[in-house]
Amino acid sequence: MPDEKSVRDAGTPARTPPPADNGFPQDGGTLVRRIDTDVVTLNPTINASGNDRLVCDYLFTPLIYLDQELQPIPGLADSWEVLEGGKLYRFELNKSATFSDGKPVRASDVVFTLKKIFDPASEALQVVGAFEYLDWSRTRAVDADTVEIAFKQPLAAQLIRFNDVIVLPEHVYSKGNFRNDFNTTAVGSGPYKLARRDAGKEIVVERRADYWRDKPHLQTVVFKIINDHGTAWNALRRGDVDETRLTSDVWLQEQNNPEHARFIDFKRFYTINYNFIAWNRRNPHLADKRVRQALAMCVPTDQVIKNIYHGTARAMSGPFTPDSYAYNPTVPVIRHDIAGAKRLLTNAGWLDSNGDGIVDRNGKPLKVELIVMSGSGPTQQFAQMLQAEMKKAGVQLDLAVLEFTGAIQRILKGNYESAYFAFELDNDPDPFNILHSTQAPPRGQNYAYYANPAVDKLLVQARSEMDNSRRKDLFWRLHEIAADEQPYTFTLQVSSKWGMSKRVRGVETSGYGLYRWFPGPFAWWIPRDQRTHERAVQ
Amino acid sequence: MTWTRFRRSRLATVALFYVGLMAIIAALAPVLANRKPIVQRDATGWSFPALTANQDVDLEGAAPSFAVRALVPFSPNAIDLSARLEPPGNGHHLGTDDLGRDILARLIHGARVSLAVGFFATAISLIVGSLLGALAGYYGGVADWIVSRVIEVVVCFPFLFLVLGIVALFRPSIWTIMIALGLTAWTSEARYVRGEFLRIRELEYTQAARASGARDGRIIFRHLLPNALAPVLVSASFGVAVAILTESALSFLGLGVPLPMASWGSMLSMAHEHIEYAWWLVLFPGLAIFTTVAAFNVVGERVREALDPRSD
Amino acid sequence: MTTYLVRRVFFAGLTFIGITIATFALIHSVPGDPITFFIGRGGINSIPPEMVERLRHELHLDEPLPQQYVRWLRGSVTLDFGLSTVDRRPVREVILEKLPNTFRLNFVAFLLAATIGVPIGLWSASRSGRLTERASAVGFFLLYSLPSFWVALILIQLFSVRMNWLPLFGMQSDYDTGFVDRLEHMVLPVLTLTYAQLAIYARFSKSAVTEVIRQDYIVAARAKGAGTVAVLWRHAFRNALLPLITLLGITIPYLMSGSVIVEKIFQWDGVGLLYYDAILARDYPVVMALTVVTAVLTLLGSLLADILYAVADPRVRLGEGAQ
Repeated sequence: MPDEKSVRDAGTPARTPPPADNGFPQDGGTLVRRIDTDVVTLNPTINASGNDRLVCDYLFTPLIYLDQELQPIPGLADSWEVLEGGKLYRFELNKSATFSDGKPVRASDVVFTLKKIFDPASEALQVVGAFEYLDWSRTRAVDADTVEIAFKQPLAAQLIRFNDVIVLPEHVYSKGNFRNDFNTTAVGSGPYKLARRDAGKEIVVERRADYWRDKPHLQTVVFKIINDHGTAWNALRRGDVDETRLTSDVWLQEQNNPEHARFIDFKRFYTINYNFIAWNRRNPHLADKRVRQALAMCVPTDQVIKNIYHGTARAMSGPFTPDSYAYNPTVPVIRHDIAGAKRLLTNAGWLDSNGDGIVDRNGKPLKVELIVMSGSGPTQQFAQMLQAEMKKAGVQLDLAVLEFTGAIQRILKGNYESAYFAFELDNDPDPFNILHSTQAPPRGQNYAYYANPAVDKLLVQARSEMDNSRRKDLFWRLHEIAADEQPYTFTLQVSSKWGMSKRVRGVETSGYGLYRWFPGPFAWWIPRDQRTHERAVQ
Repeated sequence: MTWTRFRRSRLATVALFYVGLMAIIAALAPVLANRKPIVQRDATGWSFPALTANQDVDLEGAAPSFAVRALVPFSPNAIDLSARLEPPGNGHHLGTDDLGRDILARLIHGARVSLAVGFFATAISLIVGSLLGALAGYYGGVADWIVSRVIEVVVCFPFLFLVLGIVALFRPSIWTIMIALGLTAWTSEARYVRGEFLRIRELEYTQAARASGARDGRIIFRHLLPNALAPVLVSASFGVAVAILTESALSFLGLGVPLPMASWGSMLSMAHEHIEYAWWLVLFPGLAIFTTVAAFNVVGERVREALDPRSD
Repeated sequence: MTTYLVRRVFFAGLTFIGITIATFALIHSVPGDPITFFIGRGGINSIPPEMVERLRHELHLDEPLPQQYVRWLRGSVTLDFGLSTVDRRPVREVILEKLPNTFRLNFVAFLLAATIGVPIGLWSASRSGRLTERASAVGFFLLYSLPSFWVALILIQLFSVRMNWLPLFGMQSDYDTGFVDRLEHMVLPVLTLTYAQLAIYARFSKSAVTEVIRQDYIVAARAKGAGTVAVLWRHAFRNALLPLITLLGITIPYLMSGSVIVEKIFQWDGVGLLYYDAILARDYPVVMALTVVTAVLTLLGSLLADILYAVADPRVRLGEGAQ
């Protein structure tokens, strides 16, 4: 349900139609994709990074797929029934489904996978949270192809979570150490099988000759690891890779360059993601709502969108993206207003009493440290702009640029004042994890240590409300409160920008972007006369 | 004497002059590159906004009737998004970076970081190295044995591995960098001092001082250290060059001084992202590192030659 | 001779212990709980306490420090460094996989630098004081002062971006693309590694030969009418080889440091890049293993140099050799 704003700014139109002589998809060919960091693990129950998931989607099949509208469609399961008001799910598996070693997929493999997800020794942190109400006593393989999964409590968004249940063959993954032994190999039921993995360099997958569904078009897909965005762009220009994500600066400089028009398609679209600042409420200064509101008013959103993202991002007003039904359009975006921020700070007792340019109260200056994750140029530019703006309001913002692991250690311990995040979300807009008082670290993602009984109540209601229009009302109310209380300052939704070789056809996007939905990349194909990456030796 | 010999090399004299110039630039950075006037006169009287006021914030007030502006009228951290990635010229002599900050202003302020790290890190390694070297050389025996073993261990670690590890695992800041550099680079100083001490302590004046009942500390600091200083100074000059180079390497790798502080290495690191279309981001910070490091190396080499009685 | 060797090896053993203690102490003085790095990487998520306890026990982090050290030392001696916290592969396997890549790059750079640098050094020594020699000495100083990351950026800009002659990054374009392709990928990284080393070798060999030239027997040989070139090659260079051998030992840590930067910029899949990534990911087992391995390589290099030195120069065996 896109609102007006998002229609105006919906990225580039859908792909240019392929020339008539290549109109029908042709099988075969090699596609070279770029990923920015190496895959951490190929074990889909423990994989954490987006790249892990990207590669695993080629090798494994989840219980259900999500289609272009992100609605559930058959994956490994052909059909399903939701019983007992959402407390019991019965899945019928596809009878022809096989793993890449030729063995059939059985219902017992699904139960095995769920067990592994729940075994603390697996450290399957990504998936386990979505199944917290699973009822083991009634979860079972009914017969070879039927599995029943039961819950103690129904959740509105339970069904789409089965997209994260990526089924493993028990006869392979039950041997050895589950956490340590399956990070570089893979046996799955996906359309491709792992051909080669060269740590730090590339991963090669080959189409399975015995795949049990409609086969995808591409014979070989290579994932090339290129950390640096500039290097990746050059690699795309030279034809070394077929697609890469682009930075806003490259996008601005190159998208209208006629030199590239023949070879490169520039694509831009919004996915389900947003950036926000978490204010740690345990810090006494930041516990004051007026201070958080004042700091939020220092965010120069419009300037950032215009100059850093060159118009390829949009402002946020709360924890929901503008494309979501949960987004309340009546909540205004906070205006950049330094004078207003100063007034609010003065009301809260913060005045510059010693003339050093920093406001203070009871002899203590207002200094806030912001943790920024390294690696992203625009993020660091944003942080430095915010720093300059806050200084105008008399607030000293110190920046700590940390690598992800270093940052996350401090954040999970609560040993931080504020932090800037970029979140990729899934299709369910539920903000329970970041707002509910029980979800404070280390249990959940409520990094702000936000606690508001009224909000808690709304969150619990919204979570189990099966009626979408009533759920929408609850989310709209939550949106209003979050915007007023500012436990987090939601700043921007940045669109994805991609450069794609024109020889790749059949490319479509969804709310998840180019992949993580079906058919997504499985519909891509390369005309026979434009194949340039064919390997000498297959 | 040494000075006369030093000056016989024109290149070294130029290099020394350049080092001096850099030191002056670093010291005077706030008045060389500042968007506020250095001196101004308005309704309230004379004032020095460049030195006192918050550089990045414009305060309301009447226009000054008289003002002396800085040579480079930009502050290093003043963001101007309307002037992003501008090539050299047009008021910005060396162009602007991706936040529209003036490259020249950032280079001038970056000199502070480079030289401060260079000098303080070297000072730490000088102090640590001289003390340990003196201890080993003067007392010999167990002290010497222990210090020698410690040196052997430290020199086995690749320098950048060690510094990178310390800086990244502890909190990156200008102080961490100085300390990490200082604590890893002291071994050559220690070796020089130890060698000199072993030689001098047997000389007559040391023996005489000892016989007259002088305390060890007095002998070490009054008699021995001054005599061992010359070779240590040579290694210190090279040490500054290495420290500057290493700091910029760390900043380049993203582990340098915190934002938004300008450092030549972090300027280069940012340039990597824009290498396609913004050559000025690559050229100027690199030149600054190169010339400064080269100047310190040339000076060090010349001092070494000038101290060496056998060379010309 | 044997006594000297035994003593030298004994001290090397002591140094090894020192290296391991230093490494262990450094890593364990880093603030923060290593446990949190094992879990929750990639996703920012909840960590159940029972999982923390289980891991703490599994990784022996619940033991007292000295016991942990001994356990780790015992592992290190047998090259068992545990599992990487990032991908849970044995650290030994990861290092052995990447070490040859780093070795390949550095070996070529070393050969180039030595075969060009040493003759230039000799040549400079023979014409000490002349204008050409002075100019070349200055040239070397400038080379030596060039920051490698800057040089790398400029080389990439020139040869890869502008002229499109050489690949941008990586070790090969695709698999099985042949020798020429792999050679092309090596050109820029090797160039970046070589120029500074070349300057060092030239300077070092020049000063070593100059030192020898000043000695009496060379002066005597010259007085007897031997030609300069003959003196240089027959007498001076042979004796100057000794200090050059020691250079071999010193070069290893230098090469390793250079590898971090060069491998990072060129995405060369060696131990330098591995170390950088491991540091940022707080992958302690990898960081500790690499630190120890490179330090031990240096130790072995200098041990080898000392032994060669002793074999070549009889004076060392008798005198104070353990400096």
